[in-house]
Amino acid sequence: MAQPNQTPGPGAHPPSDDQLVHAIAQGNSQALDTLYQRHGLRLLAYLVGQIGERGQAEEVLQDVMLAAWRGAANFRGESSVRTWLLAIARHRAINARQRRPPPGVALADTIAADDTGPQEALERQDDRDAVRSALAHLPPDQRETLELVFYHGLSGPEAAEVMGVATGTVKSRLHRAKAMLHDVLRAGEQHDA
Amino acid sequence: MMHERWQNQLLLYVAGTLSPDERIALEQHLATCPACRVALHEWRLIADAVHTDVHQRVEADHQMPALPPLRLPPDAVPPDVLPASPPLAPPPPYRNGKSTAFVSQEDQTMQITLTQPNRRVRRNPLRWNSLRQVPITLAAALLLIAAFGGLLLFFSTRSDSTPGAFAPAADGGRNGAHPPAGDEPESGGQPALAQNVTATLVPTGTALPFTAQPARTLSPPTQLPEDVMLTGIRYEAQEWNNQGPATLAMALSYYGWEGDQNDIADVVRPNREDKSVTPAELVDYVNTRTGYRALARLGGTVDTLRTLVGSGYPVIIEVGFTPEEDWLGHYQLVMGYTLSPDTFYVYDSFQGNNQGDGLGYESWPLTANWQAFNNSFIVVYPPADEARVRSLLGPLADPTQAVRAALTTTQSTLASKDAPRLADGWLWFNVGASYVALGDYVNAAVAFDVAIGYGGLDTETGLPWRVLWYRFEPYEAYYHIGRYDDVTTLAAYTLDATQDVEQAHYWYGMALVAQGELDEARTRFEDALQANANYAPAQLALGQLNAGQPVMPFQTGPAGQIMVEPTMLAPTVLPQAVTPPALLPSGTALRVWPYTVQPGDTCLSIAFMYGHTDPAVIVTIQELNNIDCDQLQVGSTLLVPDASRESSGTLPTPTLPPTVTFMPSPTVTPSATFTPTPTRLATETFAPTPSLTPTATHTSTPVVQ
Repeated sequence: MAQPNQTPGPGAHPPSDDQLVHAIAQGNSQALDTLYQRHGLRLLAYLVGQIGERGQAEEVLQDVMLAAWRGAANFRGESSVRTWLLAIARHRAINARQRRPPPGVALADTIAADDTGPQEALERQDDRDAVRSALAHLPPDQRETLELVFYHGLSGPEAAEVMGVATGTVKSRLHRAKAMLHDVLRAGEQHDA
Repeated sequence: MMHERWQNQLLLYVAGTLSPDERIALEQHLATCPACRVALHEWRLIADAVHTDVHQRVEADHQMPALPPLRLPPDAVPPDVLPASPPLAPPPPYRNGKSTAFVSQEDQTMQITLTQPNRRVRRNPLRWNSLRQVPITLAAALLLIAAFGGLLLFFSTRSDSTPGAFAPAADGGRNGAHPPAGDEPESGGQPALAQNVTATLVPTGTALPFTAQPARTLSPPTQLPEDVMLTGIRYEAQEWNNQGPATLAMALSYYGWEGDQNDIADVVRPNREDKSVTPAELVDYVNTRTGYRALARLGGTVDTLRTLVGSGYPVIIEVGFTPEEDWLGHYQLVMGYTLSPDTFYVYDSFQGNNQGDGLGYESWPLTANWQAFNNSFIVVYPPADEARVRSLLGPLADPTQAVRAALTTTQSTLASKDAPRLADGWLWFNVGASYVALGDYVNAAVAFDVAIGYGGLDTETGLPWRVLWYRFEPYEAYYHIGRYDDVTTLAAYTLDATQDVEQAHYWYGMALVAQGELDEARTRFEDALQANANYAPAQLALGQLNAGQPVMPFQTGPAGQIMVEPTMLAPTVLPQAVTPPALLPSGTALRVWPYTVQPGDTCLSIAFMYGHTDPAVIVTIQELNNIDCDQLQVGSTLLVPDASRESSGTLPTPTLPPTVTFMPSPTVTPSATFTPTPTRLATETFAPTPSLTPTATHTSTPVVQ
């Protein structure tokens, strides 16, 4: 073991998410702020994806944190804090979408920068862009599943919990997404340097 | 179904949610399953795309994404309060802006400037006889000349040079002895160079234009604190050559990890004579052996450092370091900064930590040292912070983007008139290294020819002779374009001085395989494992060799990671060991894809998969592989010509800025031995000196290597 030249000072170990939620349950608003700094951006990105509009997503994010503040005492630690927050966010996003009349623009269009089809995507110079625009053409549930697993780092069961589906559904969505992206991926392999 | 289980694991592996045991099991499976390697690559493409796609929702103009402030209603009251638990530790000081623990240390600030060692004895300089084997067509050569100005015209006329020859610049140092300083005069006179070098590299207070491209600049967020010091890092003085593990241990200790440098070294440097540890090895250690995460990138800037440190993440940087006479590779842990004065603070496992406050470096000396490793850095973080760290990295989050940014920056610096002449060697080296990371070996080799050929190694103006102890991209570049002699020359040069660089043995072995010398190659791979028993590429190569399988080289990925998959990912030039088909003009470089034949494949279906549209390519495939397409064997490896470039074999033109002129400057090249002349390079030969041994001065240097 190392012989430390100096003893670690206070704050040497940033608190875990579980510790933070515990503290929030006791009314520690600084802990809430720390939790917000850690997860806020990620949650915001998720909400923009679900709601489609940044301004409203920011408002919903505030609601999510308020719900976390209120619900912290009920958090049992059975799932990870990340999963818990995402589940709250999803719930709030659905409510928000139902409250507001749909803007008349499909979710995929809001996010996608372009509307080239998968075939045109094949001819792009930058194949990473090709995969990204192909993502826009996936059904929303597949896209959300990919995001939860690859961006938010949830496991299969955690993603299933957030979306309220069976774990098997998560797996099949992922594999179906990969199959749908097959053509673009193959082109990516050829051109990837 | 057995294989479906692996498919599920693959996806979680890419997502980073596998346990360490599962990771190890999967990696073992991957070593034997090409189909899974393909699937892995596809998942990685998907994951990359998802990351970029999600992140760009909150990104605006490459600025630091801003999180709106949290609004808590004043009447918010938690309904149920749990019983009291131990008090939460106060948040780390970085969130409070001015840290009361910080004391100005200006009078104790240490600076390391990148000085050329005032060498009294030249060790064994390498004169790189480049461009003699490059299969450049006339068209490409003309374009190169246009791009590089006079210098390459100058080089390319020396086509009569003896293959395999290179000249040491002096007779001194042939036997490798290092007499005590001052005893032995330089052959050719004492270079006046040292003065010039120091003068041009003394900081003027203005930083190099590393943030040349606006789109690549990571602007500091408005809430960046002015004065940051991260506390709670457990300082470790490094043991011999252990700067990598020691620095990593310090970074991990910040998060509460209780191991030390020896825990890490046991895995990454099991042979304690191993000269270097790469960032990829350190990152791998974190990701597989600890509960934390790490990533490595090239192309970091001072803004990157401030953003990460200012958000509570210490950053490991890889730097060049000249404590006495000899340059070495080194690591430092950046754990603080001040905006005014513009200074960074590091924990240095060799030089110390200034009683906890960190050793101070101004931006310019720091970046000058950092430049020697293409601005490579490592961030360690808890897994829950993955998204946050990626957002902080901004355009550097994507490793390929980061390399492109590094490349663009280096090229801009070269094009800038203010770039110090002597730093050019490093700049060209980094251009080459960036190209290797992007898989563009042709351009990489061109750049390395300039970097190593212009100044040589261990000459007055060249790169330090130890550079190949820490940087291996030249091997990769020359290997992939078939210049095996050059690979072995460089490897032999390194191994002359030390046996403890596994990469030199490995690439030597790979070149030998390509030339059909399998038995000698086997010895080389075994030597590599002597130097580092855990060196995966040598393990893989040896395994393939012993199993009679094709021995495939690894690739350096854009994050510096070793990609042990075979070259499914990028075209390679046909190795010279295989007889080129008659229908290709001789000397043409052909790019091919190795492909493992699956049930149901035909030559035509495979060709179409790789983008061919003309069925006549079947003829090429049959000739190339010496097979009959009617009798395709499942499981055999088929070499498929690449369809994305002209099949006539015209090499792509280098994309370096045409304004870079590279005429040797008479004021900077003082030594007569340096001036390249055709006759010199044509006649001088190199005699290897296997009896080279470290001398008393060498081994008595304490601690640091």
